[in-house]
Amino acid sequence: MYGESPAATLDQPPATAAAETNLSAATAAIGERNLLAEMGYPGEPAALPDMPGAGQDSIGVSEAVAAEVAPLEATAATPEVSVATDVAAPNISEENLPQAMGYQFVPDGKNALPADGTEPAVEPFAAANQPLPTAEAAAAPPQNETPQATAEAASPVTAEGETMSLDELEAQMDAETAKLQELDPSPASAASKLGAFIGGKIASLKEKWASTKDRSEILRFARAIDAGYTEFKNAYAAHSKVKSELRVENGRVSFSGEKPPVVAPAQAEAVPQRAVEKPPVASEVPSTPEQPLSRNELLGKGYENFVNNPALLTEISKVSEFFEKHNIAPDLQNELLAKRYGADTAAFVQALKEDGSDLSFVSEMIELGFSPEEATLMLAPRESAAGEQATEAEAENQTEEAAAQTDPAARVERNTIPQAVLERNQTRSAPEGRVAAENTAALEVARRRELFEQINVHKGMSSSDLPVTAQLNAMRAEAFRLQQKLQATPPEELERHVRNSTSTIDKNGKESTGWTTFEYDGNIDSPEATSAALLDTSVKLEAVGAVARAQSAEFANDSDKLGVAERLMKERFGSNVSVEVRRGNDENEQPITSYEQGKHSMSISYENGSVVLKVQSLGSEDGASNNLESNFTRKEK
Amino acid sequence: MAATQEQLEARYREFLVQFNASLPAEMSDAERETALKKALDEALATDLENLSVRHQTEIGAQADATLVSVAATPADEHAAALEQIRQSIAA
Repeated sequence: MYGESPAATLDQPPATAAAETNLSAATAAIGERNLLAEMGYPGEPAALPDMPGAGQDSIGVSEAVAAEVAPLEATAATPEVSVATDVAAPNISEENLPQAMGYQFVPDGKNALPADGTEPAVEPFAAANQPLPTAEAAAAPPQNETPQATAEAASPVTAEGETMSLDELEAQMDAETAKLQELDPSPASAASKLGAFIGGKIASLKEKWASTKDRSEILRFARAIDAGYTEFKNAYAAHSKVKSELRVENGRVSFSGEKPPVVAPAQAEAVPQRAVEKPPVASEVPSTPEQPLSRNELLGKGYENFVNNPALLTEISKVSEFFEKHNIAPDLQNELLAKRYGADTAAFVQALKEDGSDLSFVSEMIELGFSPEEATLMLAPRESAAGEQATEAEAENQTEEAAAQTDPAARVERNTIPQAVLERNQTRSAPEGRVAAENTAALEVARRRELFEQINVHKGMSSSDLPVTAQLNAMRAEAFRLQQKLQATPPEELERHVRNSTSTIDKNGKESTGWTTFEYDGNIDSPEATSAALLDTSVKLEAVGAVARAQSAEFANDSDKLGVAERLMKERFGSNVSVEVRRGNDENEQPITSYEQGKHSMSISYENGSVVLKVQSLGSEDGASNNLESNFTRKEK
Repeated sequence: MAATQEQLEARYREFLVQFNASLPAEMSDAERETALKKALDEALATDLENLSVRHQTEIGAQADATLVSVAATPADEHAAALEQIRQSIAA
């Protein structure tokens, strides 16, 4: 059992070099004996199902060192260690290490017993699971020989039979791995991974065995494999045992048969940290200030915690996954987070959830250098804009009503007012201005929702259950991030992207030249639009990004927006790619001489080697003349 | 260095006690036990994953490096190489 003898654990700190140097060859033999038992081939005494409470001794570090030192010392004096059995007492040396490891070799050259072709120094011994001699054994007869072991020991091995090759060893280790995998049969389990790892090591062992003279190095190699096995088994055994002993009474945890745990600090560090991360005790939870913080202050402090400790993102993300995986109730989640990470952090995480955002939103905010105040603004309801909020809420209701009646496929048709909203507004006797405002709001919300869906589709999120503010926040953050990325992209790379995108197959199987048209609705400096663009093909997004650079004050103040866009595109793509601005969708349409938000859409495509910027009236493409302005113009008439 | 079974048991117990303290007071014993066992399972899974990775990356690499070293080292230099290994372990 582990821990009973500190000297027999892998965790035992290595002794000093001087002490190690004095280790005798007989001690080395102990190490080899342990290895034989530890490796468990053949005839491992302890099977995995009996793991709890049946752990195996590991190889002592000092023994491992001794085993490595042994060949050096053995060169001078190889110990003759006799065993009181019926078989010939083996010499433990590099040459007979295979036997010491518990299997026999056929000296057929393939397995390369002594590479120099000499015969083994000793006769192979058959009792593979017979304990190898210890220092004590050398001085006294064995005390605990089982009848079985004695019987095996009494059966000398012949050269023709009862031998074990590396292939057999590999098979045996495979069997050991299979035992581990029985405990966790998933192919992706850690047991399977370790099994694959060990398989690879065995293959390497086989390969190297023939060419390596120094068997102690092979032994070291084998020990490394064994250490993996041992620790793995220990983890399973410890888990199984603790789980079986776990009792909860009156809210208190106890363990049947519990012994006072004694864990030295140095040893505790060797335990994987993730498993033993301790939730802070109640006294460690940040105390609540006497003056309760406002919600915004709490959120700001929560955000600040993430800024000061970015690792918190990963940790809370894992904890959240854990909560979800095990269906921890939401209110309980919040409580746990508060206890573990403080009320401010928990409040911030909670606000994120309510906002429909995830932790990636935080990481992006941090990346972009948002202050706590800014982050709070993005999460907290905009109290100062109550009117706008009300409009959004109202519009959202309208949109949801519309969405319920709208074919999802039709939602790709952007920039059209949801039909249900239009019909209702066309028939009811609301003041004209109010109808127009409602339609505008509905259109805006629908557009934003659509953009949001595009943004989050890869995240498996749906906009249907998310508040509008969350959508806007997500869009802003995404757009900002992507714009930053875009601006960091060298023009040459953009150009290469453009050039590489000259041929695509559209959904009808028709080869087209470059990108599908990107509908750009709204202000050219809108981050949402840029975001939508960036979510499409990278090439297209890069091109749109060129236009997105028009976020500069220069562009905003320039009356000739199309001219600026044209210039920016040329500037972005350089002289090698021609840039053409088409004003108007087709020849029959009146040229558009200026761009107005809400009246025109802008599209960018790549056609015949040219980057084409198209500007057209909203809704004119299908001939329905259903753009916002014309609709109400007709109604008024 | 590998953690022993007893060490791991002790740490798991400590973990469970701590985790239990973080659970809401109103939880029933049965709920508490379920939550604790789930947490323990999760801890084991994480441990195993970490162990697997660690053994593959660290111990595996060391073993490979040792073999490469052995294969490339002339016999008369083996003693020095072994001494280096011994010292590195003892350090």
